[in-house]
Amino acid sequence: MVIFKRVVAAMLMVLVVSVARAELVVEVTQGVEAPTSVAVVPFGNDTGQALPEDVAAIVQQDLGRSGFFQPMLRDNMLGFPTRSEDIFFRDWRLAKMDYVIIGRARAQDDGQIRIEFELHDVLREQAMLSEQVTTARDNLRDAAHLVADRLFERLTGLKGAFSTRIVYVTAEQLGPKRQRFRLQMADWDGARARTILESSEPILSPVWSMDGSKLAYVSFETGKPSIYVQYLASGRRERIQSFPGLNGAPAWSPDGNQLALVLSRDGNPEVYVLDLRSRQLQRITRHYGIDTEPSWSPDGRSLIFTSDRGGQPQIYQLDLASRDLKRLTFQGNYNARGRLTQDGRFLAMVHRSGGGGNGFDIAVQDLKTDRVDVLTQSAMAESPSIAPNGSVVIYATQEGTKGVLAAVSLDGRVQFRMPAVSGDVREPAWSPYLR
Amino acid sequence: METRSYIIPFILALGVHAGALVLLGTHWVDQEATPQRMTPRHIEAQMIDLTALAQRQAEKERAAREQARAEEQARAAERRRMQQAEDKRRQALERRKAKAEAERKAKAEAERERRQALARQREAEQKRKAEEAAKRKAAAEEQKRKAQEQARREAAEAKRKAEAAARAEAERQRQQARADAELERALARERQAREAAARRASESVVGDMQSYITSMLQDSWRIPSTARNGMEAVVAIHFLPSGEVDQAYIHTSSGNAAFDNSAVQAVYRVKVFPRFSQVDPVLFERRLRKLLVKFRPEGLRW
Repeated sequence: MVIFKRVVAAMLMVLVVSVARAELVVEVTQGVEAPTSVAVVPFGNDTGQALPEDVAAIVQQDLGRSGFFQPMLRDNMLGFPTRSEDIFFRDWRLAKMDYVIIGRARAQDDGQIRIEFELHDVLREQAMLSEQVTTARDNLRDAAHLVADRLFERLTGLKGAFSTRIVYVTAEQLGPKRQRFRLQMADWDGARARTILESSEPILSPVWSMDGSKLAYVSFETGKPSIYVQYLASGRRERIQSFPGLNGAPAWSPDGNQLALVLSRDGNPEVYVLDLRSRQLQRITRHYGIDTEPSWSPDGRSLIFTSDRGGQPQIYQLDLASRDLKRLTFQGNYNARGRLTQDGRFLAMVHRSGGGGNGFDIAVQDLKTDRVDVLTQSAMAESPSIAPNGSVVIYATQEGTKGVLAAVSLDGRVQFRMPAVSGDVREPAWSPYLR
Repeated sequence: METRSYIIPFILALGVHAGALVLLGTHWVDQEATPQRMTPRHIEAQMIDLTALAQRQAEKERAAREQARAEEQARAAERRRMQQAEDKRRQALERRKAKAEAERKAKAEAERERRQALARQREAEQKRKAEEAAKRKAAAEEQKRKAQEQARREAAEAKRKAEAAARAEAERQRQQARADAELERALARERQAREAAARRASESVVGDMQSYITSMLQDSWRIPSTARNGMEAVVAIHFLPSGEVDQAYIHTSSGNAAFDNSAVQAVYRVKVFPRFSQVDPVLFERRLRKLLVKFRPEGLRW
């Protein structure tokens, strides 16, 4: 009897213990919303010659401008290790770094330069990435952006957009009634700008095809607005269509076969879609108000556009198959020039909040929650364009009387100006991924 | 209350044992003493000295007689040589002398007889005494046997009493055992209650540790820009008893690399959770050595 009781007790005990073995779960719902701290240590140079570019500095700037990272200032670094065995993780930990990036440049037999770079997790004290990029000596900037892309992807899981390009239009007043307009292309950070098209007549609304091989824009070179397509590799241009009245605001469909555009040939601006293969034109909007600035949703099934049909400019979405129209923006008395992130979740736009006296700012709306965040404190922001990975919005604004380019991370944490160029800068457009 | 009934039988048993010991002990002493006292008397009774004395005396007398006879002969030869005439007187003297001699001889003989008789008498006396001693010894033995018998009887009695006491003791022990079992059950109930209380206490400790870990991790978690409300990563943490993080790794991914990294890094950023060292080691082993931490941001902008 006693034994039986003991056995039962033992069995109960086992039961209790096995119940207790179920792992304890702790839940963490709050944290510090802060960019990831990262130290980009100056890369070593084993090439025997001074290098034309500071690769680590470019990487550091790229990562910092993405808004995702808070790079450590070089002046604060205790040492400049270039090899993993020289990293004293404790020092970096004390400096509150989460990651440390090291690298070195080496000369190859064929005259090229090999950039070896490593990403180390300071807190886990382990290497997360060790790769190399080989490049020509005069192309170190591309190599640096590529390094930044690889690091960014490893750290965030998002594809880096540092090797992408932007295009924008500059206008210079050369003399009375003499202007020079240029369509320019630059690295995403504004460096290495080059001219694609130069004209004495205005150039407007440049836009990239989704494969990054060509641009569409509006040019007044014939005296009236016409839409052109220009192939980047060859420089070949073609005029797509010209109708009486306004021809503007072209936008490539994701598959590259269609072009959305705005025509005023029927009286007031309406959105049309042009099939580039059949040259067939399809009218999309039909309203007495102004419908303009069309943009495709990433899935190509709908268009968003700006319309003042509600009495003030707001952004609407039209389903191309069902023709269902939906108003997207309700906050503020002016929302225009909407652009969607590639995941379709966020809408960046020019926004003016109600109450009067407010200028135009860049705002982002979460289409899931309809929360609107104003990202800038600029009075004259316009033409937002989103990086393909959705991290940064580039836009045009006024600095004094001069138009400049600026950018803001999608969360508003990081804002920066693009390098100054001669003349007014307007209408930036961010390329898709180019590789 | 139970101890009183225990003492009385014990004292009784002690008394019985002590009595038996006293009785047996005195007899033992007597028996030891008697033969020791008897033995020297028995040896004195042997008395070979007396016989030796008688023989010595006889020897002396014989030597004296021998000398007297030699002197007589010398005197007779003198007398014969000097006086023949005196033969008659000498003969008469001789006859007188012979008569005296005979009388003396008879007297000596009688004396010897008497001494012998005395020796015999003494021997008999000795024998009688020996017999008496034997008889006494037999009596003592009988007494001893009787004492032994008595001791046996008393021992048996003591044994019987002891057995009775043992039975009483066994009965008492059975009752005690029943009482003990009852007590045991009561204790077990109490123990279970205590264990339940301890379980509640460990639950409370575990709860405390949960909030402690949560607060430590909330301070150390750098939520990356890619984080969105509704993302969820589960990190498994293995602790050392000191509270140091042995290892932490993604148990269930959020699908976002930066988010997963930030969760694991939050753990490594804390590195040591000092309050673990204050937790009971058994509880630590059972509940806290391995934990799952769910990182699920709330109230993010997106």
